[in-house]
Formats: sequence, structure tokens, C-alpha cells
Amino acid sequence: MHRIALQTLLFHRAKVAAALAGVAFATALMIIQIGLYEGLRSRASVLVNRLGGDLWIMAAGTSMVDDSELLATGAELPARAHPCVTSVRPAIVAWVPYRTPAGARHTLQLVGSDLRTAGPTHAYVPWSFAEGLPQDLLAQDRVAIDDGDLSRLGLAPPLVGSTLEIAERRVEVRGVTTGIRNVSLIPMVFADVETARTLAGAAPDGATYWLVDLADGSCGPSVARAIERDPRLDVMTREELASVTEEHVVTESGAGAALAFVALLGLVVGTVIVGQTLLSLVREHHKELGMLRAVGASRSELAQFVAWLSAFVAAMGGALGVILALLVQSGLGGRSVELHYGPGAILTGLAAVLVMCTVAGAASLASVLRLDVVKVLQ
Amino acid sequence: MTDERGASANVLEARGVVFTHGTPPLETRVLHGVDLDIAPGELTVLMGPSGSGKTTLISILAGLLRPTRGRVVLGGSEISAMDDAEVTAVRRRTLGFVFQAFHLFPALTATDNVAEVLALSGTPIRVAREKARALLTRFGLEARLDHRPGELSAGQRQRVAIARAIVTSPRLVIADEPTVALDGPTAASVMELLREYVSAGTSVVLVTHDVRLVRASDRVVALEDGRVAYDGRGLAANPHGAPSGHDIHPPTPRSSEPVAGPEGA
Repeated sequence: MHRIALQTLLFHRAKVAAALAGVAFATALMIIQIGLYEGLRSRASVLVNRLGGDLWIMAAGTSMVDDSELLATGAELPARAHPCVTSVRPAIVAWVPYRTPAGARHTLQLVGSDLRTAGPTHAYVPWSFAEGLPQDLLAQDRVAIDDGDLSRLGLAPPLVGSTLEIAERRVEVRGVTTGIRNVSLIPMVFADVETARTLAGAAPDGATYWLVDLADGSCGPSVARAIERDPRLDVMTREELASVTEEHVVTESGAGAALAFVALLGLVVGTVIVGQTLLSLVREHHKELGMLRAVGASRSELAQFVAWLSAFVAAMGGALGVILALLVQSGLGGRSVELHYGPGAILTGLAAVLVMCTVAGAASLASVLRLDVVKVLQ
Repeated sequence: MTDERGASANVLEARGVVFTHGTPPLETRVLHGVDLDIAPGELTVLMGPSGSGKTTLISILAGLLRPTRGRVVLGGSEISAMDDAEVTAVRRRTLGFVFQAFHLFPALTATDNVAEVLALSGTPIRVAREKARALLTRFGLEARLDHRPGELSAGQRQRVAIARAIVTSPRLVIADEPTVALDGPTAASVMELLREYVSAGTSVVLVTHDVRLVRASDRVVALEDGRVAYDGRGLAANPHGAPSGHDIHPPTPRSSEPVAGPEGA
């Protein structure tokens, strides 16, 4: 039956092309939506994961990493006193005012970390330098900016050496990064924690987060209890903060639901197109299938005809869909949209094809199983 | 007909076949107790006006429909008492079909249309294709083996359909109006092919309105209002006789020799 099914598909090329396009677009859409979802999640939590730390000390009620506030002086002291803690590092994540060279006002997201301690054991922000090095930011009033936001910042190359006005203070660009963006697409500026404190209006020993590194992960709860004696503070593990941040961005903002809805819509439209094509092909061959039944083909053998049609359409359409999704990803390289295709995205896309072609084949299968041979052969 | 051990040697036996449509009080009786035996190597023409029950009868004889009452034995198996899977298995090893509209897969070549039926019975496709090619070559289609039905004439398509029907070496071929779409000479050549296989022992039941086909038949069975009205020799069995008249006799009991028909009675 697989030979008859394959020849039938090849024979009805125009009709099958519509089904293949349906499957390919639905598959690509599904993979792209998952890629967008994963990209959004990854972008939402990238700062947390890059800054590292086993525990994060933050203001009570913090719902995501971008939703930060300056902590009271000495918030990190209980952590420093705990024998299990190996280091406590400050981090600043804040929204700061920016004035373009032309005088327009914008907001920037400022990220400051202790670049003196950065190295193999402690990750640092920023990363992905196109020009300059992290050490170039160690002096006061030096920053790095990302090259993706230059038009919004009113800047043009060469960037290194130019001066910006942030929080009514003039700072010098000493580094340029590439491809670092937050979910809100507000331009980001990076600095050593000393500069960041000044720009965010924090005390000389202030921070919006304290990152705690533990000698032994099992003493995390004990350290957290010690810190949370102060009701103004919360403690989360890095994974928890990454997770709540992702949750906030993709779920509570509705972005995840919107992506899922589009993916579902693609699946439904693909299913309808494939279903219609398969049903039309099968109906067109009722007489030939009836003839096979008359000479001894069983109902299950006729069902195999539909199964093979569905399988071929799924395989060819699915492969085209994966290729299309990869082309879209490469076409978007370096743009503001990030597509993360893990094995999960591809497998989910292919599983969607399977579901689509199975559901789409159901009507055709029913039509074959209910085939009234006497009637169709008259 | 029985063999020397008392077992039936007929390819097909139908006894008291009744078929009704619908449910009381709106039921319609299509067949009224039909008896019919088909012997090996016999070309039987089944005739009758539209609505006489021909299609219903061949559907029952082929196991595609279950009779309301009566018994049908096909190739030694009582298909009227079998479930769908068992009847399907009997059809596969016993039956071939030829239809007026050919019903060839438009996407398959002439060779594959024949070979795929053979492959259904478990023959490897390579072997099936070889057999199909040999058969089609015998049918004068050696130049058309790789052509699709859309590239063949009506007569060539019917030859392919006949090759498909006989490639599994069935004991019985049911041909439903196989020549109606063909011109005179093509119809004659199709009948010649069928006769060739009848000579080799295959039985053929040929349903038709075309009285000219009686010339090639061994036997003529006429249905009227769901009953066998006539059952007698065809002209191939009696080339100097006439297709009707003295050679036609009432259906039951069927004797080995023709008896006087209505006109002679």
C-alpha cells in the first residue's frame, strides 16, 4: 500500500503541494513559536544566569529581576557572617534616565556588577564584547553599551571614546557589546558596580541585589533564614529568581499565551488543509479502493493507504517545516527577535506534525473504513 | 455437480438466495430464492433488464453483500456463513473482478496496477512486476507497460483490468459490463481474452445487457424481477444454435443437458 500511496501523492502534485505547504507552515510556525518562547525565557533570565551566585538577596516582594529596588545598607551582613558563605557580591539592576546627544530623553536599563572579582569563578556582565574588555570599565564613569540600540540612543560609530549623559552625569563609552538585549527592548548600559552605584543613586556600599556564593549548597536554607530575619528582604536561589522572572515575562505578561495561541492556530489551519487534501485524494480513489476490496484487500489494508498518505505528507511536510524554521532563524540572526531551537522545539514541532496528520487523516480513514464497495462499484 | 468423492466441484453454488432492502413494512425484495451453480471453465453470461437484481446477485456471489436468506459457497467455502475477514480471505484466493469503468489507479503504471493486486497476496513486488509484465505482454501491451491509465485507450485499459483480474489465477472472474465502453472490434478482442482463460479452466460470470456477448458464452442465465427466468447454453457451447428459444430452459433443477425452454415446452 505504501507504493500506491506514494505514487498517488506524486501523481497529484498540485493538490499535495497545498497539503505539504500546510504541514510545512504549521510545523515551522510551531517551532518558531517555541523558539520565540524559549528565546523570551532565556532573554528574561539571562542576567540572573550570567551574574551567577547560589543565592540572591533582594527587596521583599520582588517578582522578577528587572523589578528591583535599592536595598538598605547592611542587607548582606548576615550572609557575610555565615560560615558557609564564600563570597557576597553586589549587583545593580536599575532604570536610569538618559539624554541623547540631540537632547531627547529615554530610559536605560543599567546593569552593574563587581568586575574586579569577575573571572573564571565568577561570571560577569556584560559579556560578548565587540570592542573593549571588562577591565576597561573598572575606572569610574566608564560604561559599555550594546550595538543593537544605537539609533534609539542617538549614537553612531565610532562608539568607544564617545560620551553619554546618564542620570545627568557624563560617562565615557569604553566597551561595545553585541546581541545583549532585555525583554522590554529598552537599551542596556553596563558598568562596574562602583560606577553603577553612582548612576543609580545608591550608597557607596549599596546594591539592588547581593549575590551569595556558598561553600556547600546544602546550607542555602540556613543562610536564607538568617537573611530573611529582616522582613524587608527576600532570598531566592538563582534558579528560583530565573524561574519567577521567566514566569513573569512569558506567563503573566500574556506573551506565552499569545505565542501558544498562534502555534495552536497554525496547527488547526494546517490540520484543516491536510485533512481536506487527504479526504479529497481518498474520495477520488474510492472506486479503485473498492476494487481492491472486491479482490480481497482487507479493511485494514485500505486503512494503510490512508496511513501511508498521512505518513508521507507528515514526513515531507515536517522536514520542509524544520528547514523553513531554520531559515527563519538564520534570517533573524542579530535582529531583536531571538529564536532558541533546542531539541525540545524541534521534537515538539515534529510531534505537532504527527498529531496534525493523524487528526487530518481521521476523516479519510473513516471514509475508507465505511466504504460501501457495492455502492462505489456500481 | 459433485466429484467422485461426493464433494462439490463447482466454483460457486448459490441456493435459495433471497435479498431484501429496508425493514418491514417498507422492505423491498430484490432476489427471490435464486439458485445458481458455476462450473469450472465455464463462461456464463448473466443478463436481465435494469432492476432485475443482477448487481445484487453478483455482489452476493462475491461476498460483498450478505444474503437475507440462502447459502453461497465460493471456492468450497460457505461465505454466507462467514465473517467479513474470512470472506475477504476467500475473495483474495478465489476471485477476480473486471469492471465497466476499469477502476485502475491513475497514478500507477499498467504494470503496477496489475502487480499491486498480486502483491496484496504476499508476492514480493519484484516477482509481481515480472508476472504483470509477462501477462501484459501476452495481452499485446508490451509497448504500454510503463504507461499510466490516462495514456492508454479504453481497450488497452480494459486489457490491463483483465490482466489485473486474472494475475492471481482466480478460480472465478466476475466481469460487470466489461465491454460497454468499448467499440465492436475492441469488445471482441476483450472477449477473446476472457475466452482464452475460460479454456484454461477459469470460470467467468459476465454481467451484461449486450446480447452479442452471448455468442462467446457457454451458458446464459437471465434474471427477471429477482428470479432466474432462463438458464441455458450459450452459443460458444452450441455454435449452430440460437441464444434463445429451444436452448433456453427454466432454471431449476438444472440438468447436465439442456431441456426444452418456454417455447419448446
